[in-house]
Amino acid sequence: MSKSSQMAEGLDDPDAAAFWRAAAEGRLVYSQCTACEAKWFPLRGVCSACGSDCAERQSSGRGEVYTWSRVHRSGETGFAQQVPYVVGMIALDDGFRIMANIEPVAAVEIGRRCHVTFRASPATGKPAPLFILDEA
Amino acid sequence: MVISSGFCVTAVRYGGGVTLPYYIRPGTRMSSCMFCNAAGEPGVAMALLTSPACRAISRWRWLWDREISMSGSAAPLRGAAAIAGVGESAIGRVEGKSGVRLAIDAARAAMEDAGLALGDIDGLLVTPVFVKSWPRQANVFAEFLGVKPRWAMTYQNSGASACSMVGTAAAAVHSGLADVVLIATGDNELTGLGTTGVVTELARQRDPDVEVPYGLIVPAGFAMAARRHMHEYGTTPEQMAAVAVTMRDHARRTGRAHHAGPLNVADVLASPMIADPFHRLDCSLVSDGGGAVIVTSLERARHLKKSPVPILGVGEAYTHERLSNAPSLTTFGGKLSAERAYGMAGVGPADMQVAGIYDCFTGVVLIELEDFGFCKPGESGPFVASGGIGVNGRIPVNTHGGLLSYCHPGYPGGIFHVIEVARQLRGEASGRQVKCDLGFVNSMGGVFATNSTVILGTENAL
Ligand SMILES: [Zn+2]
Repeated sequence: MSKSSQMAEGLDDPDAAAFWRAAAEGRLVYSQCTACEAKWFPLRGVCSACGSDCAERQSSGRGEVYTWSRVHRSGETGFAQQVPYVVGMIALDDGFRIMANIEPVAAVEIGRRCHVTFRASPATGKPAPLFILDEA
Repeated sequence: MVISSGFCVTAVRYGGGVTLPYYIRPGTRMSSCMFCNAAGEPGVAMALLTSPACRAISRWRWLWDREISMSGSAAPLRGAAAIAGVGESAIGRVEGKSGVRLAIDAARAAMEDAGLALGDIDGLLVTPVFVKSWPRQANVFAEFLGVKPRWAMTYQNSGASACSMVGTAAAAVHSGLADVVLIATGDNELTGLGTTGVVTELARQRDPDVEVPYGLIVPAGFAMAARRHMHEYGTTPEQMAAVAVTMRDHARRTGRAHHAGPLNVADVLASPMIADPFHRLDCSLVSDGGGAVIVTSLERARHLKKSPVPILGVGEAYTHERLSNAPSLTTFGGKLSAERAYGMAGVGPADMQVAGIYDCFTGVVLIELEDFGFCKPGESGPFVASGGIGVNGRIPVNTHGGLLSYCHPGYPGGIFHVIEVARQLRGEASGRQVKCDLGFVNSMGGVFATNSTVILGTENAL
């Protein structure tokens, strides 16, 4: 396993480790400032707007596709068996954006509603968010 | 807003104030219009009008000596330093040369170009070698080349390194840290890693928790921005392909580009899809090559071999690291970086006569043309499709062929844009020469994450 994929397990970063622990339990979490209520992703202990402490919040996991790309050549990223796959950005109803894979790959469009599930990331082997399009 | 009675009606009428550039302190007393020098009642600068619509911008000159030095602010960087030499190694597929060796070849070419010897170099800026990373890269390079600088730095600003290094070199010369700064870059990505190796390594270097788990290859990151541009403005794959075709036309004129075969829009669209909407020919090359630039004071450059290319403005901007945290996906930090450089140079996009734009993917150029003020938002697609960035277009872009066709060895890629614009300003761009006294160069790294701009000119533009 490469150095970067070990890092992806969150071994060296307590905030990242908290995210992956939640993901293993099927929960998508983000940070919210306890003072100014700004929302942040990925998790962080200190608000990037005002410097106050942040608290962990659980997302509804619902949102819409903000943008996407269907990838046909993956390099040796662990996704060689997945092509074509879609990596995209989802605007969560909770008020933050996240990058993730989106399925089914042939139906992805900007604006489509979607919801989170979790599956083992082909890159890291650990449970990671996967967004599934809602029924059209 | 400009809070002063000391500014001419022209400047005020074209209003839309933005923040004061860092090199003018709020509260600086001004007695003339910053744009056109028209005399007025003495007033206090609170902010600077930088609307590109103001036709007076290109004509104003800062009243530095009288105004700024009196106020105690730093003296201006504008025109303090100049590019005195440029050079390249062999480029394309270059067998048997390490990244350091390619940088050395380029550095020696640049010294020859300037008429300088090893002993003249007392400042050094070097990018890391991607294929084989060394700790203390600048020092490793110094030993191999045989220089003993009194100021040196390994510069890692990813794709934005080139313009960042030019600006930093100008500041180093201006402040006295060094008299002659050699900027040297080289990498052997093609023979050392190969295309798949480079794609893989770059993907591994994305955010380990936010991007790597989802297979974000770099082309897909830029493709997401292009997708948003298509969605918001109706931009088409054909318009993006026109960028690749224009770059190839320019590359063919140089006689030494990495890729120089004929290319048309249908070829681009027929090439394999990599990361939708980018086909293979929407993606830049993976090359071997090195480029070097020598920066010294304008005064010293005047006594060297070639005509000086004064550095008139520099700017940088940083807005996000993870793409999901970019404020927008259709306009980026390059807009701010360009505005800062225009502001220092006292010019606007309408004054630019040639440009070097970081063309890692075709769709990236469209977004950048808008951010740098060469087109209105949403108009870049039709602009490039109608020849706007060709040698004979409104703003000739990357007349060497850019990262898409000339050479893209990774971190050194942006230096070729700097070199080409310098050659244009010296009148040395045979077969593709543009009539110009003012040139624009932008470098960009990450996925629109690090942004740097320089404005270059001739002596006529001072
Ligand atoms: Zn806060």
